[in-house]
Amino acid sequence: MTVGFILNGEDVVVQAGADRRLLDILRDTFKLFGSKASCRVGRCGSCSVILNGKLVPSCLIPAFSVRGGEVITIEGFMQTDEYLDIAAGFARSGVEMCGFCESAKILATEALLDKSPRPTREEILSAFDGVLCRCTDPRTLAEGVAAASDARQRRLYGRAP
Amino acid sequence: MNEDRRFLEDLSEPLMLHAALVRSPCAHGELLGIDAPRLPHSYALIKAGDIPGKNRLDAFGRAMPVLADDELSYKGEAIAIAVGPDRFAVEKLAGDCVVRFREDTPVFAYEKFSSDQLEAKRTAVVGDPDAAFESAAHIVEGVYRTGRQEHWYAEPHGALARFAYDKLEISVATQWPFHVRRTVASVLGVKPEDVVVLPCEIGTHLDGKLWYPSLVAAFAAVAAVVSKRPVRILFTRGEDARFSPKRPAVTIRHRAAVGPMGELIALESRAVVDIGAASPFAEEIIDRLCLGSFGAYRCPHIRVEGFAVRTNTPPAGPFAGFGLAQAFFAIERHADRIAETVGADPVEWRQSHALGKSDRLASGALLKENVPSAELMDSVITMSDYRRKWSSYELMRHSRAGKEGRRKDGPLRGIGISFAYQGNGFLSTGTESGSYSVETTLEKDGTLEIRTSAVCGSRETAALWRRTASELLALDDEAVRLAPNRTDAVPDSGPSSLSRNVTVVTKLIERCCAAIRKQRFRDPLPITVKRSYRSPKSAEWDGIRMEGLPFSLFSWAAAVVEVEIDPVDYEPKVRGVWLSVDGGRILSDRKARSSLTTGVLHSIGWATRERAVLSDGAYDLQEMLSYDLAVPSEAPPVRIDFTWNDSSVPKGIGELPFSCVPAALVQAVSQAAGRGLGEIPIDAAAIRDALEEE
Amino acid sequence: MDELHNQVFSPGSLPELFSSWSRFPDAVLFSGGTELVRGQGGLVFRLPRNLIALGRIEELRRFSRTERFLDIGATATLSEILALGKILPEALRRAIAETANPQVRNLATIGGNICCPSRRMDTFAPLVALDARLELRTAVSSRWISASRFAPAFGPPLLGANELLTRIRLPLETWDYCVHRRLGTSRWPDDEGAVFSFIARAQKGILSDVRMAFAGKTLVRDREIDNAIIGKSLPLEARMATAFVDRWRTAVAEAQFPSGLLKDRFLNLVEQAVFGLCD
Repeated sequence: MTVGFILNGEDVVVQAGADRRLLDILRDTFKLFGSKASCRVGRCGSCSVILNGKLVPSCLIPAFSVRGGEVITIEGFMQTDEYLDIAAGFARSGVEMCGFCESAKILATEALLDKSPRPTREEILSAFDGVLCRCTDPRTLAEGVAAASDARQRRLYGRAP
Repeated sequence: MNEDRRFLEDLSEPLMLHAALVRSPCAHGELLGIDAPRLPHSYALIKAGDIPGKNRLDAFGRAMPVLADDELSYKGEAIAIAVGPDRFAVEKLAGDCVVRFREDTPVFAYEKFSSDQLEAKRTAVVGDPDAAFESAAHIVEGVYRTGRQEHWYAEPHGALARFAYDKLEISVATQWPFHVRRTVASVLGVKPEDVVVLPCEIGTHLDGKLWYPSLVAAFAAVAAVVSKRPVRILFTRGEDARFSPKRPAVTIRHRAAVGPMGELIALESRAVVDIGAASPFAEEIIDRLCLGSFGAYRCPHIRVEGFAVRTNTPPAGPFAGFGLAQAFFAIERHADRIAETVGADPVEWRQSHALGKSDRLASGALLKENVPSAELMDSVITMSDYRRKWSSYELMRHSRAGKEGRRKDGPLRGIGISFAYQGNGFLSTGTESGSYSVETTLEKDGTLEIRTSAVCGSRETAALWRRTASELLALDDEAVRLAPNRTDAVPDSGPSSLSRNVTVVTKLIERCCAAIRKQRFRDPLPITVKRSYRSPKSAEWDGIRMEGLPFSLFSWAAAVVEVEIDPVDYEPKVRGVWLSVDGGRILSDRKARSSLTTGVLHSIGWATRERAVLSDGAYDLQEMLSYDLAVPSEAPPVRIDFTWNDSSVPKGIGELPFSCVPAALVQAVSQAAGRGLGEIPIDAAAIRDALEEE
Repeated sequence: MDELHNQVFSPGSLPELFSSWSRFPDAVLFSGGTELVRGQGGLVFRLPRNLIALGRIEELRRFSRTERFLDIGATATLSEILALGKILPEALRRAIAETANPQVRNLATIGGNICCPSRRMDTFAPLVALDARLELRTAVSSRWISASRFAPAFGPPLLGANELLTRIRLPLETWDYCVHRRLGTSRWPDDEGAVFSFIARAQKGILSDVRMAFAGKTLVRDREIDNAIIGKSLPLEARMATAFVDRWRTAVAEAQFPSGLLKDRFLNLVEQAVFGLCD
């Protein structure tokens, strides 16, 4: 089937079986390796992308579901100012990521801050319920997200939070 | 996204083929043949007979086939490699193959085993345990079990083999690049120098990528050589979780001869580990189980037996804490049982028995360093308010017994304490060459290059190496770099496991830099120095006589864990963990805390919710895909204290949580439930039974 | 590959849907799709040959509200429902908030959750307790059925041939007392996983309504036992609470539960919930 959608701001068209996972289309066809293949059942978050404005596991999205939609992968998100807030916040707090879960953590943070710009600690931790990674230290992660939120407030409103 | 941090699944080559394995459906039997569907053009099925060199992986004196030839030893054993241009088609092709076999009765049980299941055995006696038992005031017995654990490292196993001029290059995430090289060379029947290993990004591996990647690399290499194209093999998570090595199941039986005041006079122990169909680390793990049998305590008379038992299940492998973690669980639980039997306080018992400077481990050499048992235990006791809590939870437990309507009462709480050590490196290198090196070059431009094949799972260790060098040579951090650790560019620094990176490799870098420092203003640049490590025979641990010194460096920790049992579902919830660590030189306090915290969380998982359960000799796919890893919102508060330590030497500390936390947790649950429990993962049904009984 | 390809229909309206469905009666409905793909984990995705994707049908995604009811379209995602906030009854809100993870909640729909053929999923217990009603439509008919009648204790829900769940109607009532609990450490459907809902309200100190439901691999509920304490005054006497628990102890046969442990946990929840009315 012909699948046309917007990928990181560009119109793209790809030929794929209707049941091909979006994850595999992104990696194999478009060589976008930031979304990783791991559990393939939507649990671990490594394959997270933003589809039509919502954070979803791309391993559970069949090609036909993407038609006419808009997909933002970590590569696309990294071109935004919102990404810089998160990168700054994580760097400031020393959030270490093994690299495999990086897109999962960054996009989960973005999804949270988009909905809740000044999240509570509880909200922060719950935002990572779908990120399974052995390298995560919750305290540092929470500090990193809070610092990202601060960075965003400063950028948008010019004020220290 | 850093382009340098590429994982194997991100790599590909032009004209690359994909490989998938045909696996044995039979746990034990004879392979009769494979019926494959018609192979489309450019698809192939590679079998044992196609292997150009030796069909064998060797490590630590043990061997296993790369592809099963006639004997089938476990469900999932690789029998053939399907190769072709479309990954999905290859996967399907492998799945469509029908394996013909003649089935023998498989053996899955390990606790009761027959002599032909015995892979390795260790027996050691110190002193005169028989006499001690005869005159003992009390004899305290207990059986303890620890469960299997899945690593769930970031990326599942895989390897990519490609031709580069006259060499075969292997990209693979491995802790032991030179083992991959020698395995692949042997399997292909070529010289080691003809194979170049390029280690990929590995992430947090928890020791799950020590030897198995060599097997996976062999699959890719054979497929590449037979098909004359680059080949990549990648396991799915489900496949990796079902077939790659797990932390093995261990059962330890303790029998202690105890004096009237609770003094530990003799210990008789029997440890049995299920290594699955094969394991290169059979000797190492039973040595560690035996060494750890008496924990960090003085015990004059010991009889210890360790058995590594083969079963028709997937081969087991190292997991952080490897051998000692299981042993510490058992001895710490048994210490509590002893204390309870004689009515002693668990803390006082530990403190009165803890090893100190100039004590021996069994009949081994004297411990040279201070053992901060009192400081560490006092620290966690203070941080956690252990004494007050322990007393009040004891009171609550006693007042609860016999009351009706328990569920409406106050919470079921408990608190436990433990004490353990971590030693660096392997106990014995067995038949490994044991000579590992690091090389450094001070260049004309004043920069320093460090060349080592050691693989870092974290940036912290790499930073430690660079800082070590920069301090010794008075260079800026930026002037020190690590060469990419491809095997054609760096010396063999051995397996990166069991804190060798932090201790042995750091030491070698120090020695290199010290030599350069002597030469640098005397000899022209560039100056290259290579230093090697070979474990000196005299100091090596004799696991049979328990002589020598098992480790040159020990790090120590005490832990307190507080739990509350949910009266509805009987699951223990950890209210807090306090850890006090003597870890030698710590480069970054923040990073050390962070990695210890994750270790604590993984060890809680091992003790409570992570279950890798074999049924009929295999791990179920759905169960492994829903393997119960904790998420950040479920993490309890963890508080860590580093004791001041005047040692400037860095020591590995990553395994300490696995040796401390589970026992303290189970002690706490036992107090809350009113019954001594001795198995991990904790079974809620056992807690229910204990509470019903009350 | 020489495999048959999937056919996917994406109707834009209900009439279009029923038209495609009548031509391909074996076509499987796809909303979030999480149940269809759950647990596959292999490299290759396997989907039914003919699929009808419901994503373009606006009518199925709508929310509407009167004073007495909240209507939720069957293809509303779990996170869209959560975003409704406080208007959502607590029992349902808490169940959804604890389902799976944020990414999956953005995909999974309430309709898919309710219609799962192999077991009862997380929204089921609260929907039964709240006495939600479900609108089921075919090309030519429409009916409403209470959630408790929609699915039996075991087995697939009672959907007719080519019958579609279109709306979930939640009564907007005030409940004074709500006990919600999710069992199982894993958030993923397994034998030990289940959701327990217990809601009650009182008028002038008298219990006027009590509803309890427990759903996992099976559905457990009994209106008669619920009703036994209706009309009693609050705080409830301990002996009545005990009698309530005892009735459940007798009523529950071992076979209803996948394990003895789950049965014990259920009875503990019953006890905790009903004794909460004694305070």
